[in-house]
Amino acid sequence: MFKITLYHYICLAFLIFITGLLGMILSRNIVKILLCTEFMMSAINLNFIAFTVFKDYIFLKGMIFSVYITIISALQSVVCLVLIYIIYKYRKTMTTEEIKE
Amino acid sequence: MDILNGIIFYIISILITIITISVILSKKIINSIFYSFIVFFLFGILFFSLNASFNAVMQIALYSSALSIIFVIEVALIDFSSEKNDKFKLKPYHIFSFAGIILLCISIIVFYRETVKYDYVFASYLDSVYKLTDFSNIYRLSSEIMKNNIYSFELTGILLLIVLIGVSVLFSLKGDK
Repeated sequence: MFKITLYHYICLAFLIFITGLLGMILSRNIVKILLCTEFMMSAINLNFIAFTVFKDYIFLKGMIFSVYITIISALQSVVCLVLIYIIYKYRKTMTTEEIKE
Repeated sequence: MDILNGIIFYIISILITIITISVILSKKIINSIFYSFIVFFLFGILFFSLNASFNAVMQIALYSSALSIIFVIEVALIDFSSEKNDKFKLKPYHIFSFAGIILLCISIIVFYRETVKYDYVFASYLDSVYKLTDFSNIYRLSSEIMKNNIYSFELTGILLLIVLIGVSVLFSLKGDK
């Protein structure tokens, strides 16, 4: 039971990815949607790193991918935050339904 | 050692799952931001436990410190009175859909485990690999990035520059209200 294998990490990443996806679908606040995308990115990172450690510890390909994913998701969130601020400046709202109107 | 690793993994995974759900369900946006940084920090600890020190440091430095400041400044710039629209109303179909998707996921995982047998690399093999290398893989990772993946690294730098210019242009836009 206490022996942690690749299967455990895949299950955890899957659970967090699904939770992030559900939060992205159900939330109405755009900052929350952005946070949920970050959770999904972190779950993908966890998958990459777990596969690297258990399957490809010699060449570390997954860890290199994970580095790039971390950088690009951080850039994406910065750009999204700027867009959210601009949307708020003109529409005075942060919910998706009111932005659509 | 296996037992300690297992206990740490289970505690961290339970905490991550609970706090992730509380991010979605919390009514105040500042609370959900605070919870999310705890989750990112716990992810960093998980990466440390997987012997991925470089990724863990990046996760903690980028998400739990740099992005946290940007998120908090963003929320401080935005009027808090808009939070009255942010109340998450939990309806029955939300609960049923969440439970259904979780059950579906569990069934898929169980079915997948039954049908496909992973060729696990067991701890004994991992120990033998760890003895060959250092405890930290930062040197190997950086040499891999700088030798074999230098073009993608340069492209990431160009992307950073483009984002910097794009963000400054977006902030300087003046349109009709």
